[in-house]
Amino acid sequence: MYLQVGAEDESELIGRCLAGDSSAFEPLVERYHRPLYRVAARLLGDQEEARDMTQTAFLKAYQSLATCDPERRFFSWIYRILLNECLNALRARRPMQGLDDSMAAPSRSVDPIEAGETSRRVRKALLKLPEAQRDVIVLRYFAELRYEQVSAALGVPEKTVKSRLFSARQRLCELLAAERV
Amino acid sequence: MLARDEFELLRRHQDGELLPAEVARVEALIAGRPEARIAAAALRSLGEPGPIGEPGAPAVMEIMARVRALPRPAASGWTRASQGISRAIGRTVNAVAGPGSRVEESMSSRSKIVWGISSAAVVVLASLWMVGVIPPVNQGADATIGAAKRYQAPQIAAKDVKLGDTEAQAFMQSETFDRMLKDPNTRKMLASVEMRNMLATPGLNAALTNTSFALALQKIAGDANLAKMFADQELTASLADAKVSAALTDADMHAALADNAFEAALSQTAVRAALADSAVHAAFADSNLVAAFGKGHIQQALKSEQFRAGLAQGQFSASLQSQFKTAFDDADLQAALSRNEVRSALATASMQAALSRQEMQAAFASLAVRSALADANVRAALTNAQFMDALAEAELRSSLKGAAVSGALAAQQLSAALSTELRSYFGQAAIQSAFSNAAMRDTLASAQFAAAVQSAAFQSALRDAGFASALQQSSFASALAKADQ
Repeated sequence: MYLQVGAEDESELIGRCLAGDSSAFEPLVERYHRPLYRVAARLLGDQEEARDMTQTAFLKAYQSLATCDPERRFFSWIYRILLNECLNALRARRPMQGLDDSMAAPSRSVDPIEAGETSRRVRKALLKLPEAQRDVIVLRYFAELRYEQVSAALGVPEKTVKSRLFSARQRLCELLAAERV
Repeated sequence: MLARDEFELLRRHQDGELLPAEVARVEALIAGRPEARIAAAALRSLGEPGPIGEPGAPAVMEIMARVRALPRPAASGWTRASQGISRAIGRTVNAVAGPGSRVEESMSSRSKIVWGISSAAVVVLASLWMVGVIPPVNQGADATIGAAKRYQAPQIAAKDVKLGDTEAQAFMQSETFDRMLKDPNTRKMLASVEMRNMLATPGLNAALTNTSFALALQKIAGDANLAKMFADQELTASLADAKVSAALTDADMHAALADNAFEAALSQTAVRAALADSAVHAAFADSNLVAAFGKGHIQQALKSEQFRAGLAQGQFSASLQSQFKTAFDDADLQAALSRNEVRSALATASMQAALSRQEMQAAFASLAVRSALADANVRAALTNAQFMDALAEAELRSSLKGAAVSGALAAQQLSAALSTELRSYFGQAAIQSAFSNAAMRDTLASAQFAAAVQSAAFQSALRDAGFASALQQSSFASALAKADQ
């Protein structure tokens, strides 16, 4: 898995990039473009925009490689770049409508339109979460990382990841419920 | 508002973890509570993969094509990182030394402490450099303290360095920092005048802009044993020492730190134990000893693995605190200690036991004995190869370990003898040769000789020029040995 690659290996690749060997960046792109794309796609809800955003994140990362903390995983760093790009894009969009009654209806319908609407509201509520809570939801559900991978990416114990995830989900639901009221 | 257990129930429902008996409860919850329906929908939405597609392999090629078109990434962050450290230290100096400043107001007390501790670590580093724990670069393998392979390690890379406020925050969240914070000694030390003076020294500021220092600080902070040193009150007394400041700006020191040698040193259990020993702290804090250790020969001695192992022994390090350490500030004695034989002797358990004996320390504390050690002839003896070979012999060390001999050394008459006539004979080749004689060593180690040494008659004889002259004769030593048998 992409997050099981050693940080030392990544440091070496980054070092080669900084020394002028741009080809050393390719293994990093191959390793991380998929989870980053997933995060962008889930946050933005648009595949094409997600591809653009992923590409932008890699280009910005390459240009700023010297500022990457080698003690942390490259993924943690570029994830932050991507997340900021996505959040900026989401904030630039026009404000969304209020929550209608369809979400609170007793039906368990999986109508794609309804599901899409729910997903859009969840994304909106996600922006209101504290960063630490938002990160665990994005990495766990959107990037589809396992707990230990989220732990590695954020540099916090797995127990903390689980605890934050519980709080984040609860807060997210409270925000959605409050929006309806 | 959903209760915690209700929310957990919905979460488990979404994750398919419900027990059959719980299904009805969840259904009732969703049916009766709008907020439960919203939560269930949100959880379902989070868990659904959604039609997001795949980025596809061409995405990598597209990204790389654009990457190759970009100019080479900007210069290394090391310079910026150094500036970051400098800024942080600047804040610390203002915060600690400049009460009432705006910077101080904006800086949390925890931040003050974390940088204060780092600054204390710099003093530790300077001490380590001066005493030779951090070896100079380009030295031979025989002068290293670890396995030769350690010194073939690659140069410290950028990945080894943590710098900036982010790292300071991470350190502040560490267990090591919590331990330090709770330590009353640490708090007292950071409030000390010495610490404030040290923080204001240009040498410290210059040192902290060096990335090698940042690395070393990181390693120190991560080591529990070394962390104990930060709280040591006696160590802070050495902060004002000009030599410490000078060491901080030493380019060779920076180069040595960048040579991975420091990490290798810290990887040695014996070294860490020695550095954590309160007696060693006291020794480092002693300006005479530090001055002595700052000289090349002492550094060489300290680089001996055997000597370090000896240093890690509590008894030996305790002996460093005794008054004889002032005698170390002498070129000839340092030359003696640079000899392998002496270092080996000092590293032995019997020698350490001898040095740790109260009587032996009393002897060294005696002005007469110290005066003797300061005598050029005695020191010359210590630099004599044969004499040192003798010192390395087990028999002679055994004799020193004995209560009778050390008691005799502490006796006033013998001290007096050592302070006057006898010492001059130590400088003579014949006497030194006598000590290298196996028979003489056997004699010195014997119980009878020890008893004789204690006698007033013998000590009186020592003060006699004729007797001392006889000691020069090898036949006398042989006779003495035979008489002993």
